[in-house]
Amino acid sequence: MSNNFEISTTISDAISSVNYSPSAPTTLLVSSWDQTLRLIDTHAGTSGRELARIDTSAPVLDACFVGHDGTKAVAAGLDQSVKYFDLSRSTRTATLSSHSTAAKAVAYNNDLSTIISGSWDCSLHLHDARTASQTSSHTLPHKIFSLSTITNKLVVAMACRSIHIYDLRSMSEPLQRRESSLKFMTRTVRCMPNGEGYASSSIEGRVAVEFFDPSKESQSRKYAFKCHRQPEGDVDVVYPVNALAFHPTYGTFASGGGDGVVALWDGVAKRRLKQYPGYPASIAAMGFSNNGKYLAIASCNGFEDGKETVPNPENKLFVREMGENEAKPKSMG
Amino acid sequence: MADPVQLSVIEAQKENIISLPGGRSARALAQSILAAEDTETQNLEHAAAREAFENELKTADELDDPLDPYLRYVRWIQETYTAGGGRLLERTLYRATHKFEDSPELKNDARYLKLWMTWIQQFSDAPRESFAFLARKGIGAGLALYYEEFAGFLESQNRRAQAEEIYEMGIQRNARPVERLRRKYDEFVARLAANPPDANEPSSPAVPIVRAALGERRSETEARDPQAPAQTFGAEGQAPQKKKNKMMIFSDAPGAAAPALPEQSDRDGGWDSIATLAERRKENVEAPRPWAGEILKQEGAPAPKKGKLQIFRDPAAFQSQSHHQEPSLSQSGKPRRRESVFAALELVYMHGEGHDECDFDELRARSRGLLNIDWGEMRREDERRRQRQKQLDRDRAKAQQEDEMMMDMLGSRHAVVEKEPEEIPDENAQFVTKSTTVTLALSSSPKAKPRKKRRSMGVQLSTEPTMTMHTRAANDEIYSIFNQPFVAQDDFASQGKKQDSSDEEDEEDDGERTDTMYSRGGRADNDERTDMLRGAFGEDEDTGFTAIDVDTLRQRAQEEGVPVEELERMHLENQGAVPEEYMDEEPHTIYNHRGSRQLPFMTPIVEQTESLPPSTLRGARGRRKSTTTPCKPGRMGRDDALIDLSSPFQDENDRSLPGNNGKIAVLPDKENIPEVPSEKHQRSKPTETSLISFEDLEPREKAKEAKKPAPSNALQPKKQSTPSASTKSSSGATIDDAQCNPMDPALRDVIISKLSEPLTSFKGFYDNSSQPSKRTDGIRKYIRAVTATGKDAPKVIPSQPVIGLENGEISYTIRKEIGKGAFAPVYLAENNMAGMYDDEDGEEETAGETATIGISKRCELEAIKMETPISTWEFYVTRLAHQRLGNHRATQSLVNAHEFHLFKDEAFLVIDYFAQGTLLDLVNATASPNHTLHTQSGAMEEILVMFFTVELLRTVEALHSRGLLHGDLKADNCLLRLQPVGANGDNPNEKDSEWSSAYDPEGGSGWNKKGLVLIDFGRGVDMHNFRKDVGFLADWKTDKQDCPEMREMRPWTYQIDYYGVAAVVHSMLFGKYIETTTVSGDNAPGRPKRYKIVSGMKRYWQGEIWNEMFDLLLNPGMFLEGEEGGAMPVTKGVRAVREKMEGWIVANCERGVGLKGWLRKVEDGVKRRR
Repeated sequence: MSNNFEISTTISDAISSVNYSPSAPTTLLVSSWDQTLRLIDTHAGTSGRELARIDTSAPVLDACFVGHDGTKAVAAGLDQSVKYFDLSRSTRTATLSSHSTAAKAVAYNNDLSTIISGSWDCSLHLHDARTASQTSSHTLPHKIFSLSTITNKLVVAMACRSIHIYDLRSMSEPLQRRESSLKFMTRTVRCMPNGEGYASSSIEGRVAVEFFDPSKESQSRKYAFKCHRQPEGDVDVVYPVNALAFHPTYGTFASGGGDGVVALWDGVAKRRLKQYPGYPASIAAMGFSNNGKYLAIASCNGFEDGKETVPNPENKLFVREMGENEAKPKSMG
Repeated sequence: MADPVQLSVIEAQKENIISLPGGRSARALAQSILAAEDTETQNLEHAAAREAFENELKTADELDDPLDPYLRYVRWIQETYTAGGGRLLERTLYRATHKFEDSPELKNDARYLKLWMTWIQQFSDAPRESFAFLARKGIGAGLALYYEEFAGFLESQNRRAQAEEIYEMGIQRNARPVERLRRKYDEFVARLAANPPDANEPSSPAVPIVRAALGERRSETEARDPQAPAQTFGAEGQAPQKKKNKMMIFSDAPGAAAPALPEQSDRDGGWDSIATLAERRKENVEAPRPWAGEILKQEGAPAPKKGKLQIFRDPAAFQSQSHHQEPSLSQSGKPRRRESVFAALELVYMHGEGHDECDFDELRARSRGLLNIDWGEMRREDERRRQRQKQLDRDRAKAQQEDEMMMDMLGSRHAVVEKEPEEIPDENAQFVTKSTTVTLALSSSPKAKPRKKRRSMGVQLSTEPTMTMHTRAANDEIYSIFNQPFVAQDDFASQGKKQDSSDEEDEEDDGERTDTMYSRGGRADNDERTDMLRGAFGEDEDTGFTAIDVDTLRQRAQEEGVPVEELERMHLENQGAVPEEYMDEEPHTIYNHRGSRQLPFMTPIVEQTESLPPSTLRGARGRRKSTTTPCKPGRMGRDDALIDLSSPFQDENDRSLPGNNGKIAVLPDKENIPEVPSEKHQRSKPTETSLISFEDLEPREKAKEAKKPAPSNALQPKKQSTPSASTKSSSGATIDDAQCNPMDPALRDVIISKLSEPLTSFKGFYDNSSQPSKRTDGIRKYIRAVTATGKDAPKVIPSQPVIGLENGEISYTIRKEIGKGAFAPVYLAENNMAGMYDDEDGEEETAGETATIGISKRCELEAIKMETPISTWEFYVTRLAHQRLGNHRATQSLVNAHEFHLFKDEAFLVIDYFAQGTLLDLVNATASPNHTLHTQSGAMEEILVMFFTVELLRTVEALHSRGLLHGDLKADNCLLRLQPVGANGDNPNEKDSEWSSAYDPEGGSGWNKKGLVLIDFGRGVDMHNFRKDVGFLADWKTDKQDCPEMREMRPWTYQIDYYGVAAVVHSMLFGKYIETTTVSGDNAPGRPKRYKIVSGMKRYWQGEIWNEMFDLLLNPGMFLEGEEGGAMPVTKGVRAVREKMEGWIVANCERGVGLKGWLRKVEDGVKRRR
């Protein structure tokens, strides 16, 4: 059985992203609306320890590690800038680029050492991680909500249910322009670790699993399913699915909803493996550790209903230690 | 000449008489009304008369006037059935009118027309159509009556134009008597002139012109009336439809025409007959068919089985931005549940459809006004703000410094203490953030306005306010000035502590600092309490000092780095100081306090006065560490003797310790203590005081007894040696009613008030009934906070509330809510003092007072039950049960009541916590498909059921044999008690190693560790309080879970438990609630009913044993032979059944999985559940 524990933090506002380090299985990068970027060792002591805390000048909307050693990170801020940090020195090293409105999402592609950032100004910026400089800028038709990249693919989820799939090596034209299979606004998109496809979630309690391969048979495998609904009387309240996280080795994925529930899915067998209810607030972000043993879960007000209290009181960070076969798909025995 | 008709008879019945157009014969009326009084003969007569008429009608066709019998029949009906003939009249009229509708002779017969009119007036559902029908048939065409009636009807319908038409038609046809018709017409015209018709009135022809329907099919052979309408739906002559048309066309089944209808043909184009509406609508009614071979449609075919993950395949574009209820798109056949989207779609799609949506982050930014700001400016602003903040911090630090300086200068605690009350409004349940956790007691330690005496007492270990606290208080005030968030408080608090520790220079300081550790909660003093400071003060001092034993001192010493000797010395000093204290007290205070003490469920004041002293003394002895009190024989050893006493708590102590009584005399001297009569204040008092004047008391005691006409034995302090009977009241019971409701609070109060040993003297009973507790709100708040999720979740989840009691001597950290009744929520609590009890108990034992019965070792986790409404009853009965049962094995199966804290507004009962849940949970787990304990049948394994049944029976048997009823036996009041077996029970590898798989009914080989625990004695009954022949009556609303006696309002006693056991076993065995029925054939009047369960046993179950058990439990009254005294309880019968069960278990416990295996499964299963 999995063990769930809370990380004690001093985070004072909504958490926007959690990412485990690509090198250390217990090092977690947390970005928050409280204008900080924190590096937390989730397994120091009984409830974690803060390794580093970087104050920025604006709420951070997304962050991710850059490189494979877990020492660098990039963050997208509400102040329109994409910033590059050296975590080992706890200092900001550079502003990579500036969008004309808030930068909503960042992603790092390790194969191509590329940092991608997307903004509500419909622009996508690419940066070279080695030189820490912007290499190109692309204008897309809609606001960018979520980015995910794997191998040489970049999936950009935008407003109006639009999804573009790019080949990072030739960014001039998207490989595919798709419309989300979900009827409502796309909330987040994450690529499968095997590079075959991606999962996207909507604000209306649905997750779609799609595949890159445009062939008909491959496309016929795509599907969507309902989740994160809570019966209230005779009505099902449908919560947004705010977070998706793929297990790095098994390819199963977790979804986190506005209902404070995390569910673990086997996308191949189309089965729900586990459900972990009872998080105190909306699940804002999730991330698996590189060895797949831990799942970091951020639970805070998600502003789904357009309401929040300032300052946000409950910004909690949990780590769920996965049992040996907990996230293992059924098909693998 | 016949007698005159008695009109009074008619008068009384006149609302039941329908008026007839021609009036009624008074004589006939009176006759029929009088006859109606004898219904039976009347019915016979009527039947005979009807038969005669029917026979006459059969031959009516042969008569010269075939109408005559009908007329007479109708008249007879009208006269006989004064209230209207109903169906009979309708049928007869129908037959009469329709029989002759085509008879030309009768067309203009006024009698026949009158029949029609009666029928139309009384029974026709469409009078206008009926008139039209008559017109078409030509019936009454020559009679003025028809036109008058028709016109009158039309006029009443406000169709005056049509009415006029009818009159004209009648006059034109010269209907006789035409004069009358003319006169009526003139009257009508006059009315019309007075009230001219509205233009809106219908003016269509009164008798509709019948047109041929366009689509009518006409058979070639049959020349139809060109006016025949289309509404002839088939007829006898029509051939049945061969193939099924798209639209089923109704056709009368051949030969199905109503027999009452005369032969008819459709030559009249649908106007050949007019029948009732039902007749005309017959195509809407399904004809009756034989059931054989019919297929009944089931309600809703079972939905096809779905995969767990529903695949969404709807590519349909997003339709409307703001619909929260989306249309159905599910593939499964079942109707979809309505859905409501949690997200604020109107915000997300604020720009309208087709435009970009707004992310939640964007919405958040927008709502905070961060979206369209100049970040450059923002950064500069930020910088400025930081500057300001720094300035603020500096100011604050400065202020704090100043404050501390001031504090040092003053050097007095008073200055600060004064401030305290402002600071925490609700201290009772204080939520402490974990980082700072020193447990907070919610004590009654008085900090405000210390009395002079205090000074003389030297250092008070646990109650003195300290420097630390003052500093913090001061800080708090500063915070309130700066209005800082609470996080900062902690920092400051720790700062304060550091400072404090840094300047530990002399003993005094050390002592005080120690104090902070333990009584920080003391800070949290109650404002309300200050008004009764005196009492609180005394109490507090005492407690403060007794609570600390040497071990604790040592422990503290270690923590504080203070030499043990030092602390011990101080401790002793305190002890020494106390007696002086009391000497100083003025005696008069006691009376005030006495008067103000209102113990809700206690005795009247007089009696309490008597009972108080022993209690206080006992308390003192019980709780004191190094007491000088002479040891008295433990109650424990004596319980066997006690068993037969009607009042269990009566005790020989009173005799063996005369000091108990003697103390009364002393009391006035020190009754500054007042509010709380519990043992606490007594603790610190040297026992000598209590010995002072026993002699004084003796006379008083006697006088009091003399005053009581029928003293219950409960009041007899020295009766121990002389068993109950001699001193009992007439019936020997506290409650002398033959029938009563044992749950009646008033009755319970009486019982409790008559205890020989008052509740207040029970170990673990803390009477603070004069003080409000106000702890509940904090706990509730916390529970709400942790259970709420999503949008309901509060802003701050408070950390686990710590409730401290008795000056922080006892404190619990509330973990969660484990049970939620309507009245008494139960919380899981961590006993913060768990470690300390061991010493205490040990010492008590060496002191000769065997640990009070039922007080077993305390655990870290215990359950706290909020007794609302406040009732001491559960505590009392629980203790009573333990005492009565003594060392009986069944004692293990009773929950322990450790402590009872009584406050003015609430009460807490501290009981054992069993983590494994209730039998009900187990039953439910077994029935729920996802649970590991699920079985195919959904019910528990038989051997498991039998095992638990044996446990239950044994416990109930023991309780009953000692005169106790549980009163509320149900599956959710039975907790699983599957404890580890063996010395190494905690070690998982060793776990259960000493537990044999062979069942031992005697509890050997570890089997005594497995079983049940009964909780909730809140409805318990002590039969010794009642007469032997008592019968209880329930005043609550009963249902199927109550025993049949209750349901049938018969008196009951032990039945309540027997039925309860049966219900529990039933729910285990069948997985559903018990339902009983009487055994058929056995419920002849006068004989007691015999009940049985409705459900049937499985073939492979031990039906014989089970049936025997149910038979016994449901009908205990039938098994009284052989029982002791031939009366309830049927202990022997229960034992016999139990032994049978045990025998079966012994024989079968190792088959298959085995009982041990099953129990382990249960153990694992319930563990996982948590």
